[in-house]
Amino acid sequence: MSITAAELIAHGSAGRPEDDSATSGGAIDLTHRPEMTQLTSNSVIAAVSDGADVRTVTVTGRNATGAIDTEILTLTGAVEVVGAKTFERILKLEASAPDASRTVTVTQGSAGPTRATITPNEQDRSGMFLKSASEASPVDRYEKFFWKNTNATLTLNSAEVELTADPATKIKISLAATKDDTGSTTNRKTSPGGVFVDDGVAIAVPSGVLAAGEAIGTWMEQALAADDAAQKTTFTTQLSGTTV
Amino acid sequence: MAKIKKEHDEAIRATGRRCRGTLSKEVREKVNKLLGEGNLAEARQTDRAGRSGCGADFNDIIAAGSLDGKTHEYECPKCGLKGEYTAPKFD
Repeated sequence: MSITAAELIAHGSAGRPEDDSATSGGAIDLTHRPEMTQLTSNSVIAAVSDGADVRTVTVTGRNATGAIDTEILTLTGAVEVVGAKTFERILKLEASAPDASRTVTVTQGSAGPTRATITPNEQDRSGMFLKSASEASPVDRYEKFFWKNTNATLTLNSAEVELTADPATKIKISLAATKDDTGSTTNRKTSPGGVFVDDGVAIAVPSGVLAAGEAIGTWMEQALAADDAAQKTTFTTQLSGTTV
Repeated sequence: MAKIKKEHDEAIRATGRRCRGTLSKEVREKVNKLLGEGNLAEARQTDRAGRSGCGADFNDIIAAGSLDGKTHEYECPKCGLKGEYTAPKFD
């Protein structure tokens, strides 16, 4: 059976800074994915598991005033729990622990559209470049995630990574020089080096293939102009290739 | 074209990079709309399907430019795609 799109998974790196001083990058963190859909309007957040589950899910976001706020939702199994706080955007969703079998679905409002799912053996979802602001001069920041081929046996051939959409045109990408690397930078304002390209360029994975279980570190460069306007935007990347 | 050191040229070309081709304004707007709606997979597919599929070696553009670690504009000589990249910097 061929590699499916669902088997090509984006995972975060161990260093996921929320300020400009913490280490950025490092090794892959299999419990995290930098993957969620932003709220389309101010809303409360709801969460539901697919079976017996009493973990908590901590929602971190910005409220209607723009201030950072958090809310802890205690799961009640397959019965939806609805938060009381209204968020303007979500930044991070953290389960209290991974669970071997349960999937948690987080929605915009009660029974609303899904904004993220936390799958078995994983713990959290978040955006990237959290709490990053423009400054008096242009500023670049760098954060890392991984694309992983989770198929048990098959190799993804002619493997490439590309930035497929970036409406705000703030993002460029670069790949680590080797697969399964642990490279990091002192902080997210320090470049890891290399070439960063926009959505017009596809980058080949080193050696051209991503074997079963291999991952390729993908660095993102966020370029904010001096005194840039506030952003609430989404970008997406893609790992593609051929499979038998 | 400025002549660059062989090792710098080799370092640039150690990673394959190809131009994905142009994307019409209409398709780009559709991709952005899908993205805003949270349809990430469909946004990616639409973007891929909408690209003109140039395939030009983007490393030629990098090697011909300044290796100063700064952001530069580019225009693909084959398909005319315009954009930006951040150049490498070698010590």
